[in-house]
Amino acid sequence: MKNITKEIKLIFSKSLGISINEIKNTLSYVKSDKWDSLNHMKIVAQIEKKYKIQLKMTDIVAMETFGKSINIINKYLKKK
Amino acid sequence: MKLLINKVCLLTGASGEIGLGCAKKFYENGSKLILIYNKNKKIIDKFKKNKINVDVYKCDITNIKEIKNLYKKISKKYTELNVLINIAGIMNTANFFSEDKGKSLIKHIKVNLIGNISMIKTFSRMMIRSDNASIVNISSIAANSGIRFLSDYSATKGAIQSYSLSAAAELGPLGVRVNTISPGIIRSKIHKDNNVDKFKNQISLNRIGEPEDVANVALFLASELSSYVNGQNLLVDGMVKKFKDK
Repeated sequence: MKNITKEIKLIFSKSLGISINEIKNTLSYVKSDKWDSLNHMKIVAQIEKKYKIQLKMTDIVAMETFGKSINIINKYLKKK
Repeated sequence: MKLLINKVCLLTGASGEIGLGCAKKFYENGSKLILIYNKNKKIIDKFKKNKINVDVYKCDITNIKEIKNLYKKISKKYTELNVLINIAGIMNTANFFSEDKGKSLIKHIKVNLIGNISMIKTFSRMMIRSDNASIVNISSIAANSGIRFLSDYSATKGAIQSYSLSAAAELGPLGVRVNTISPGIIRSKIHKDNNVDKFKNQISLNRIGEPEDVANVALFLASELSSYVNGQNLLVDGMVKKFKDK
């Protein structure tokens, strides 16, 4: 399966206004000042647009770190 | 200059006069149209004839299951939605003291308020994927004028204005503008009395509004020309001096 980490990092970087180097698996919604509910929806919208998927609300809520987000998106891409 | 080239625009209430006026205007401006109707399929079919990039769906917006099904169909074809124009609505006159057990009020709330809000809530997910999206809700001058026998109708039209303002604050940062249009007396079947011209002396422009008058403003709000307009209510009423129902 395609490695999507680089692509998702770019989406996070643009949506949160931070450098790609700052994006690690541990980057967290709770701890990051830039990652608020608004930017969270921007990330979701860009991911849905790029991969032509529709994330369930439970998964949107569960995307609380970058690492978890990658796992969740991969789950959808496997189903495609 | 065409203002909506390749923009995907969804219009509810497309078989009514204002809906059809908007559909014509948007099509002329290069939009890909998704037209929603509940009744009067013939009118829509006639409009669609020999046109490309026009999809037509039947949907009762008071039925959330039908809206969800509509979303499934549309999201299969399009990844993002640029414009949503909520035109579907009803206007029934009701005597203040009528004993209809609130039926008129509930009907107005179901269509004019819950129906339109359900459309916004469902389709805004597709709209935040777009860079500059626009939602336009059709309110009415009745929301702010105080018109006899229209209390149920005006309550819902006022509510959709309030809702739009908060939705504008919430969706604005995600790139979706939300505005309302408040038409005055527009020549359409919603006025069951066909003789609407009798009201023209109450309007400073001395004429009744045409569906195209509303469509022109809808086009402005849908297009990039209004990219810095959010949370506004635009009156399209020719300036009503003082509304009297006779």
